[in-house]
Amino acid sequence: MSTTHIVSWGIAAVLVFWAVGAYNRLVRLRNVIANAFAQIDVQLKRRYDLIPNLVEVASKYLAHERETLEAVTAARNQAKAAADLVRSRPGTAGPVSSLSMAEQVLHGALGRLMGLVEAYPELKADQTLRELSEELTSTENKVSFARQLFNDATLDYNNAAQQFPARVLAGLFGFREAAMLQATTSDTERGSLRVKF
Amino acid sequence: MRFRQQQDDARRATCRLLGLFVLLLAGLVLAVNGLLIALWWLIGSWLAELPPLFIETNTALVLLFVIGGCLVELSRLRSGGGMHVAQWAGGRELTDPRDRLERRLLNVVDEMALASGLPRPAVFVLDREDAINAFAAGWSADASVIAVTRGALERLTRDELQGLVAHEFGHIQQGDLRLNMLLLALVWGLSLVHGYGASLMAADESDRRSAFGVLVGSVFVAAGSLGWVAGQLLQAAVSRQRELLADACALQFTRSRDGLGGTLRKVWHQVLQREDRLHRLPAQLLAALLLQAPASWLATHPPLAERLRRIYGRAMEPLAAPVLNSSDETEPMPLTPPPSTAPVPGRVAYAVPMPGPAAPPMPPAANTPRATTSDDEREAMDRLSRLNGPGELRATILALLLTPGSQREKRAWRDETKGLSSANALRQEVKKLGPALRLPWLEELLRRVAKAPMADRQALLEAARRVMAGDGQVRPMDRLHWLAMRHRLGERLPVQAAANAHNDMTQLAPHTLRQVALFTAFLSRLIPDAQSPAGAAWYRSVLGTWLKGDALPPCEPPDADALVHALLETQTLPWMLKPVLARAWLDAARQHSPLGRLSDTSAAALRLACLLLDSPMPPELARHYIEPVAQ
Repeated sequence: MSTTHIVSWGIAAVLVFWAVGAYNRLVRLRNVIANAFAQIDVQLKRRYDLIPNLVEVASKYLAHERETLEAVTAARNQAKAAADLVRSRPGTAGPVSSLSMAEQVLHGALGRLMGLVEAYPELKADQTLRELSEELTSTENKVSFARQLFNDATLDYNNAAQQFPARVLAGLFGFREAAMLQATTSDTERGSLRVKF
Repeated sequence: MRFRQQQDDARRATCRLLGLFVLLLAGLVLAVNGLLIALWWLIGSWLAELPPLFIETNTALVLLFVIGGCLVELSRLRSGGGMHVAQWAGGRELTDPRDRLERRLLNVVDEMALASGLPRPAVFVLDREDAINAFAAGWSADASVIAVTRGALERLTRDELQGLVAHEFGHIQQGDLRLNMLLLALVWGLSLVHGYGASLMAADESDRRSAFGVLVGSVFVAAGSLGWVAGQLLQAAVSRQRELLADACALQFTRSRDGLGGTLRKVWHQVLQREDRLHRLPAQLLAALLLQAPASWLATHPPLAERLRRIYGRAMEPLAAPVLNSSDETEPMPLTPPPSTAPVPGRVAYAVPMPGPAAPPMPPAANTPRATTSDDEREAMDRLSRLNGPGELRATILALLLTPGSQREKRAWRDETKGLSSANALRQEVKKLGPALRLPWLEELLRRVAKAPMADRQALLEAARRVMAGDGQVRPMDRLHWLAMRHRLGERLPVQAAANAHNDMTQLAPHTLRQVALFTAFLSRLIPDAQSPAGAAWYRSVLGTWLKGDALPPCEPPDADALVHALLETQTLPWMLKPVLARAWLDAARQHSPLGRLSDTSAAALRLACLLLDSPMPPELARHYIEPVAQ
């Protein structure tokens, strides 16, 4: 076997090793994206579960504020229904926009409720409500962190797939560019709701 | 925020420094060889050839020490594991949070695990440390731990705590724990070269030194100590870069510079006030792991001013770090519409009579007058707030447990308090306390006893049992008192609260509901009044909403064992359901009481039941009591 042979075999082996490594890396990054997306869903669900409890505790003190409480409950139900619709028909534009509308309404209603809570020292001091609000804050944070992780993961994946030489491999095996969730770095979305006592 | 740029900078700097480590090793090999060759020539044999394998042997010897020592040390460090480090530092693993602050910490760790995409590490609290600090430890991201001082929990806002935890997650994500151990081991390996030289120079058993040993040994000592010092400097430099990297990662995870920034400013303030000392933590050994470590010429952390300048892009001031009272943590609520500035028609009615916390709004159904104190009671409270020593504390608690009018219990109480001259006077004071004060004071005194050693607390529980059984019978109220005492004084059993998903009693397991019913049946002997025939009716109206028809067991009070079981099961209710249950008890009790006024017995039973469930008292119940002023 001549030297040229050995050299060409060596180059081929290095190429194969690199290709396998790069391929696995792309697959791993793509899975991170999928996982991040699932997390958003989990946390949204958890939030919908928490809101009735919040209303329940608040209603003990705020029986005469029925309108606000009912508005929160109604907005929560609408948002949950919209989220279910998105889940059953992922990737279609209609349900996604109605979900974001419903989320905005829920956001406003919750904000009003929290304003009321601020005004009632007794309610503010309620142990259960404080624990609930901590849970709610945490869930709100988790939603936004899950979105952020999704976008970070997408950025990493896109960087890995589009830079040369991995770009060649990505084209060969069909690693397409992934889309980010819009506007998650804006302040309004990140701090989506602040519940503080 | 330029955190990606900062991360890249820190990574490049780390690579350069690690390259220097390789150069250092090569330099050490060269130095040892060069010095030994020079020695060879000095001895006068410059004409002679070097012995065969001279350079190879020296090189192999140095590499063997450095790399071999490094590997040995590394396996030792690895075997400990993060858990080990955290426990050794006096940490308590947080699995069952005791209070709101710990709950918040767990939530924040969950959030950061999400933001960083890492598995959730074990969380430890360093209970006795009042300085703001934290560390991460562990060989890999899967088996890492995060430990946070109690001071950090109490002195940081939620956002700042998030920044602190994010910094530690940055270390875990960047593999700093592993890198740090590797460098520690490498420095240890370098120190072995020095050690070998020193052992060559040392005298043997007959106290003689060979000239050869001293000469060659001094070469190894000189080269080894230079290498060791250089190694330590390099390690500290790498560590500083990793801190900057972790800071930048924290910004990436939280997307907020005020979190970590606020934490570092508060730490800075503590450093200036000299309050940053860790009492139990061997800070020197853990230095590279900590959020902030003492500055020295081998500083593992960049100066705080520099870290803050990188975070904010400008110079920052230190920030005072008082213990935050969670209720007056007034942070801006940016997205909450302020309720008073824009009165909407129809809401004005409540918005106007709202002068402030001094006049809390009346709950809608407040027909219970608030309890008041008489002069006698004020005197008694004055005396009770000046209890002297554990003996008086104990006598007072036992006196509070006496059933009024029972001579035999009083005799048992005398037996227990024999030898305490002030015992009788104390009992007279306790007698003055009305029902609105007895339980609050009992709880207050129990809170004080709870700090006593385990053996004392057990002795008190035993004494209480003897006093209450002194009249040959254990009344339901006695039993409730005793359970409450045990709840307050005993070791807390980790209660596995069910997932907090359901908010509806009917979704509970049938077994749990039956145990709740059993506990309620026990309470029906006291509510609406002791031995009142209305107890069964009360029981039915509490449980009727959740257990329909045949599913509702008849109202049969349980025996002692069954009661404890029922209580344990009831305590596992999701915490959001406990107030619901308390509310149902109270509402039904008011229905079944004449004029909707709770009797003293049922109020006491409800208060003790709420205590046992760790549930807040409904406001109407709380109005029956006057809490002692916190001391």
